[in-house]
Amino acid sequence: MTATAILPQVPTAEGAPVLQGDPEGIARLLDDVVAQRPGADRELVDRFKHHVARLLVRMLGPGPDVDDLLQEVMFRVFRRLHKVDPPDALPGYVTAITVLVARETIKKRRRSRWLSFFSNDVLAEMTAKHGADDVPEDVRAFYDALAKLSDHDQVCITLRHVEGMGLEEVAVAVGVSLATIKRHLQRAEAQLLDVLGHDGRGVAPWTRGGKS
Amino acid sequence: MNAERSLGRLGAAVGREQDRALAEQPLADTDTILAGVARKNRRATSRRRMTVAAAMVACATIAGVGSTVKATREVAPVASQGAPAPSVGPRQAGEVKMPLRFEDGTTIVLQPQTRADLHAVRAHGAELRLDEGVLDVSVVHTEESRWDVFAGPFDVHVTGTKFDARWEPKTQKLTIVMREGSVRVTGPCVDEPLTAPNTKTFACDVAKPPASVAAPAADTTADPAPAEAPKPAPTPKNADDLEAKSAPALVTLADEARLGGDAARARRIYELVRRRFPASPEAARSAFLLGRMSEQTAPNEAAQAYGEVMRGGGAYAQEAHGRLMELEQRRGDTARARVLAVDYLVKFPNGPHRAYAASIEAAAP
Repeated sequence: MTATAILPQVPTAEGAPVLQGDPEGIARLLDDVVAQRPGADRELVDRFKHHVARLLVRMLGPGPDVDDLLQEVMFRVFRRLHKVDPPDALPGYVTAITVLVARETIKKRRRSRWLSFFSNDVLAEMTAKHGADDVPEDVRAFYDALAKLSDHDQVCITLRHVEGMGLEEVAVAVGVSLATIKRHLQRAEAQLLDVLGHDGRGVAPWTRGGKS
Repeated sequence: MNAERSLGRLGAAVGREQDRALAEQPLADTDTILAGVARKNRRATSRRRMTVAAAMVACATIAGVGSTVKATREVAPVASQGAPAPSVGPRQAGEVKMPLRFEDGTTIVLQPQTRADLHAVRAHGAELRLDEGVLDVSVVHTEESRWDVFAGPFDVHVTGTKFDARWEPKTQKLTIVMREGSVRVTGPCVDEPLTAPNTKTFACDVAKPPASVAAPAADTTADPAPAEAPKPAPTPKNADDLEAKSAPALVTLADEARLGGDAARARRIYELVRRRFPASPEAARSAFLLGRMSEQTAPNEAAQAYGEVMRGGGAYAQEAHGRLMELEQRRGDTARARVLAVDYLVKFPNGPHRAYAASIEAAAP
């Protein structure tokens, strides 16, 4: 399988599609950045920052760390840009780096003993902005249940079901085969539904298909 | 209901909630991101140099050579063309450029017809006064380094960058051309960060430069021990832009400083917000972030900040309560942590830290 990004055109917060099928433009951009042509690094950041930020939020939730992590992702992207091959693998490469940084962050949060997946800055920011009562109970339950999964499974679930990536995209992003990701997702989904079912807080309509 | 479809529906709802939060939280601008990337690159380069230097020392030791190579980040100025390294003192470039190369890789080049004065050399930086002409500055920045270029009443504080500085004594104008990274320019009428790419000219209406930016002592053949130059006079309060800014504008500046790695400046501005706009939402946010920034290095300060946020109520009170509970538990004050945990479970029964609070309560004897 090649590392070609098959990314959906998902509107960002800015209202514009993130990444479009433009292999020639991406190849040219990669060339320009590696050759250090003026303005190329800015163009790369402009092109990918909203995509990276959205993925980070999907996997980690919104919060004050998103900007710091966005910088970390871009630092790692630039550091190994010369190794991206073929050039149109650039979007997939950026996604994979983002997933790696997100997983490291999840592990770090676990080590610092935050028990809830989105407990620290993330839910703080959401509750600060919207009020604790405004964060829907089913969303909160989803966060809490996800926290009981491994960091790998959390990432797979959020990329698949929150970001809406296809199976092949998720496989490329986390660096496993299609067959492996299917197995991992099946296991993770069963575990998540089990936790959500036992919890029963406001998610029953979802798990029974009652809500749209 | 198929599991895949159920989770897809729930996931979509989560995604919508996240998009709402993301839409309300503007991302860092591209300049800030690129400045952060440049800073991380320099830090990585600095670490590699340290590793190479340490390896050289190890090899010399093993070979039994009485090496005088020091794996240190001490900076000593090296004059151009291999001449003995002077320390402080004036320089004048004639028809050709005059580079000053420092041990950490920093280079300051006096362009032709430029006069400058190396005030002081420190372990992790130097101070240079530009008397006339153009300096081409490339600083290898690390967390410890501090470089200042003074020109007339201005101080260009280098936070990791490449730039040109031109000073015209007749017109008292300073022009900065940013090529990479960022600097901070302060003076009687300015306190401004500049990030590459950017070119800006500064001119303050002052009768004469502050007396503190003075010529060094006549004896310039002193040993290499650092001789600290007097610091520039502090900016008059009524000319400080920060004092005139609104709370949201100050918080934005503080956030930029925090994300750009200038923790000291971020702290100053967050404290200013608390002082000037007490009881405001921005003050609560500033206190919360000050607490976060202090947790590892100054836990008492962090505890104080979180306590203030909790007492004020407001949007960050719940999170400050959770963090304080965690902080006290981590510091070993289990009694205090338990009190906070019990209180948390009463006030925030559905809060994100309820499971942790319950575990603290359950573990109590």
